[in-house]
Amino acid sequence: MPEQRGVWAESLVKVYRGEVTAVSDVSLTAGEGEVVGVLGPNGAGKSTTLKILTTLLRPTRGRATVYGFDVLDVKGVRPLLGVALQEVGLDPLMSGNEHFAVQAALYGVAPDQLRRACDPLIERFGLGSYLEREVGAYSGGTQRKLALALALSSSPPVVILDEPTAGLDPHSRRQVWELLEELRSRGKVVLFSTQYMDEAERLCDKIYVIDKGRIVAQGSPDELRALIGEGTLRVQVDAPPARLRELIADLLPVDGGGIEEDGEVLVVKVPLDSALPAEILRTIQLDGLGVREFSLSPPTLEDTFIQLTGRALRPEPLGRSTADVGLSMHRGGGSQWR
Amino acid sequence: MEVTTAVADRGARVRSPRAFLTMYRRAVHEALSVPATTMLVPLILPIFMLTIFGRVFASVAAIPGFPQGVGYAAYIAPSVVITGTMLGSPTTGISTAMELQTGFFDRMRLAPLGTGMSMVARRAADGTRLAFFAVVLTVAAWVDGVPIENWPLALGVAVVLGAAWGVVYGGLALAASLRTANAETVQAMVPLFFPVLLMSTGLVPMPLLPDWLQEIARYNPVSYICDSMRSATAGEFAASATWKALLGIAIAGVVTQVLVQLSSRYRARV
Repeated sequence: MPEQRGVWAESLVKVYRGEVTAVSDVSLTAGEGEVVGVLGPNGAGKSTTLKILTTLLRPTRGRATVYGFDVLDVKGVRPLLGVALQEVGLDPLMSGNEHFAVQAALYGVAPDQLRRACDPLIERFGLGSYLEREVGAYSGGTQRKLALALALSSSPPVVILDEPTAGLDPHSRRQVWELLEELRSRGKVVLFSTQYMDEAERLCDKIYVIDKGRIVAQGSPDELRALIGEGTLRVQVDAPPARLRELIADLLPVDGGGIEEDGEVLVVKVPLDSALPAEILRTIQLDGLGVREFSLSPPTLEDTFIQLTGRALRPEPLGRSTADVGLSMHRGGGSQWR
Repeated sequence: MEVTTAVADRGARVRSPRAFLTMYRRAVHEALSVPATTMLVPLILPIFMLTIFGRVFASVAAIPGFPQGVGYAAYIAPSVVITGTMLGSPTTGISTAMELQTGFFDRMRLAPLGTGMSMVARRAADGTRLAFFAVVLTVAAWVDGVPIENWPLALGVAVVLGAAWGVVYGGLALAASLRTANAETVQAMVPLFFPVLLMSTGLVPMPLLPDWLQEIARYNPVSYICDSMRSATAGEFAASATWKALLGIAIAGVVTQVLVQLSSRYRARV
């Protein structure tokens, strides 16, 4: 059923010029007061999915609605949206102030009214001193902050952001995170894409992991982490790792899988709620070895992502095109979660 | 439902003259921010034509078929104005291609006002600039020795027909821009002005054109625009040529606007 007070999409497919399939099966929902993340590597279909939901692309198949309006009904959907895409969509020859004036014209509101509404955002992002200057002279991060302020200028009920923190410094990223949390508290529907695990983990009520145009997993960060079912045990003793590996070999799976060396530290994948860590510690103590490090970490979202997609997520470096960027490839646990 | 009301309210408010003025000012400011490209370059070739062609080919005005008592510079003065307005016409197309590349076009698409107002404002700004070109080139012709018998009439016809033709002709660049989102493609269309001019009576009178070219020139609005402007320079209002020119501009306007609409639909269907 279409979500009447939020964003709803079912089985979206997008094929460009009948050849390239960018999105092959995406279904998602985002409700009021929810921050929903679309997480995936470059070329996974995140931007295409978001562009369909913003009405900028027509789906080849499938259906999506925003507050009950079909995304093909552009006049119904567009006024409900605040959108900041990866291309910041700014005119390099216009100043920040001129962008606000044009935005006011585009949305049919008085420029003063729009500026008053945006003042808190301008202050929050420290944009005030830049507004007289041409946007082409802004840094990439400042341009992105201006684009965000413009996206929120009409106080839309639905906010769709494509990698809103790409290119921002840590302080600015944190400002954006706080902003998104504030939007959630005000009951807005927030849907954004990201390549940053920490961002998704911190902000999202729900995450859709997308890979090769398909949703491969969905759920809260905790639910996604639980999918992996393994924690990471790091053990260092006052003996070489090979000695420790030999000592605990009988406790580990016969094929020796899930065990690696990180310098002097032995890293062991252990099932959650398993007695294995306690058994390993007891074995070490019985052998009389001194323990330098013994820590058990729950699975991270990154571990989960690697399991789901078979590769690690590495944000695209600034100033390089998608085509230039090679993803770090790590073989993971395969496709059992699909 | 609260949001539905908001949609209706916004739809009603956006069609204000203030919105048009904002977008118009933006287009003018943008053109003035790169004056060499938008204000100077389109005038160089026409002035070159006027000063060089007018002298190099001065003797051809004596060939039977040319109007008697009119120097070659005076004969080609209208085509000089038209060349200027055609060379200055792709600005909206190039700017729109840039908007498509930077994402600004998508920003406008997402707003209740849409992209239509921006394109109308851009073309109005082009019209203003091309009208200025028409005045500058008419004055340049006079400085070069072309007699202007009736200034208000000469300027009025040059501004109205020259700017209108430039705006209409610029629709080709806009359509190409919407279709390809590529400013280079639009710029590659600039030399098209030359065949359009050569296949008219802008440089040579009708009787001196080959038969097949005469057929084309009869359907080319530029022929009637030049005839009308030439008469106005001589102090006469050529009603028949002017009406034909206006009709030709209107037909060309419909054709280019259909192309713009088709390209816009293509862009919306992607």
